[in-house]
Amino acid sequence: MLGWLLQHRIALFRAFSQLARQPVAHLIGVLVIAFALSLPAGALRLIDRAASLGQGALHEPHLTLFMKQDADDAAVRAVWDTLALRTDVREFRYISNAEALAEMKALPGLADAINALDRNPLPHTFVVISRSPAPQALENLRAALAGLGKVERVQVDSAWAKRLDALVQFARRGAGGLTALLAVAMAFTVFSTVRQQVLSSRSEIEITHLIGATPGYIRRPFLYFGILQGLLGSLVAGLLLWLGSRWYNDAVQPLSNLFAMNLQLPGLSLREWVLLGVAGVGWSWASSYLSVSLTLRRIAARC
Amino acid sequence: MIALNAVVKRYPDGHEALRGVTLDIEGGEMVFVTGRSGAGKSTLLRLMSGIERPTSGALSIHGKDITRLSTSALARLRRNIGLVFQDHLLLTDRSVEENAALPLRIAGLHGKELKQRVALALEKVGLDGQAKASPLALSGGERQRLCIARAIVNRPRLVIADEPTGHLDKGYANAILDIFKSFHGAGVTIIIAMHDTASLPLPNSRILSLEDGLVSADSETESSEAV
Repeated sequence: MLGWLLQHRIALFRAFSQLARQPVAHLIGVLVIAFALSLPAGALRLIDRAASLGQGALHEPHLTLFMKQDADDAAVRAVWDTLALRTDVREFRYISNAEALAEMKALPGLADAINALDRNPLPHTFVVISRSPAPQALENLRAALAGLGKVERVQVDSAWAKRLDALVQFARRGAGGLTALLAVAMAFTVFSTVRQQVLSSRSEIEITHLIGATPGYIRRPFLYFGILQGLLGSLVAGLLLWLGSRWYNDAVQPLSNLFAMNLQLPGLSLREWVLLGVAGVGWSWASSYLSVSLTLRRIAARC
Repeated sequence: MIALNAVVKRYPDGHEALRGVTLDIEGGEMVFVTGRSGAGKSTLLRLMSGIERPTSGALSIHGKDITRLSTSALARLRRNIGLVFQDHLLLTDRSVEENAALPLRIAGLHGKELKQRVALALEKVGLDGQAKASPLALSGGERQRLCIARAIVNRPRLVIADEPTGHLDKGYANAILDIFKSFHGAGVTIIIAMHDTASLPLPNSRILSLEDGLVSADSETESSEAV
């Protein structure tokens, strides 16, 4: 057991030595891994932030019901009573046309224009909040309300959120494609780096193979090398994401204030750090394993 | 110790290096495998070393049928065999003692015991004063002795050498053979391939002659004179 552990220690030490021997060349490999991890991870974080904003809107599903211009108090009362009785309506608010006009008049620059009108052009309005955010439930409620007497139109206000959600899904697919492409690039980088390492150690591999080294023994330092590269790549990717988040948060601060929305990206969570590490190390290990196995098979065939 | 039964070795290009070799080598024997170039000596030695597997037939080393062993098990079996190569196959970026220690490191040995065994192996081949030197600084004969030190450092019961004196002049070749004789005297089974045994004084030993992939003669020498 002690001997086995020692062999692992030696293999790890050799992998470190390989990295230290050509730091600049290996730094490029580490940076490729870091970019391959941080670009899709950063894109996914932005998409998730946008999705959470959209989800917030979807969870507050508003409908706006506009009455016809000629709707009288009785028609308004009838709609009120219907809304009060419906179990799929969580709450509603009535805005009379006079109230809406007063609000508009309060807006700078509009008062004179409104005063010039000979009649109130605004309809009586109900803002309705559905109990369910499900698109089908919203559509059912919209259709039911649209059928009431003296109702001009019912508008689902979360439509923009639905569109955002569709965009988010599309962006997620794009990020998935980007992730796959960069994963291939990362695998190729690790594969060729490890292959170079194996080929440059060819005579040592042949000799150790002849005098009793198992394939596992021969593979070990190269796998550790791949793991180290992946680990360093993951760390650099985390650093890039942290710097990217800071830059983005500074840039988006004025927008957040303007729209009174939290557009800021949170710092990397422990789960995200672990995911980055697992992705970087796991993928590098797999690429190294494939590379060293294929190259060793070729060398063994010529031994 | 080694048993071959109707062993055939055919390479992917169709060349049949061995065409049905049957023989037994007992523990403690000293065997010289002779024959012209292309007779199948190196192939036979590679098979008996567990470096290659036969295409057909049965081959057991230390009682283990190598055709049934996994790649890893076969590698572990090779650790119990000391191998000496004509071209030395040394790591030129490592010192003499690091080269000699390689089989021990592969076997997972470390520390004081490793150092002691390496020192002893180098002393046996007369390289104890050059432990820190690079193999590049050694002469051809010294490199072959280092190769022997590496082969015996694991204290194997079987040493197989492929043309160990091939590149050496007669003086160095005799010195190398003396080293093998001393191991044989200590009970180690020695198998040596040589294309020319006529000019060398062989000890009491067995001579296996190969011709076109078959054993053409299997004889014993009784004197230490040249055959």
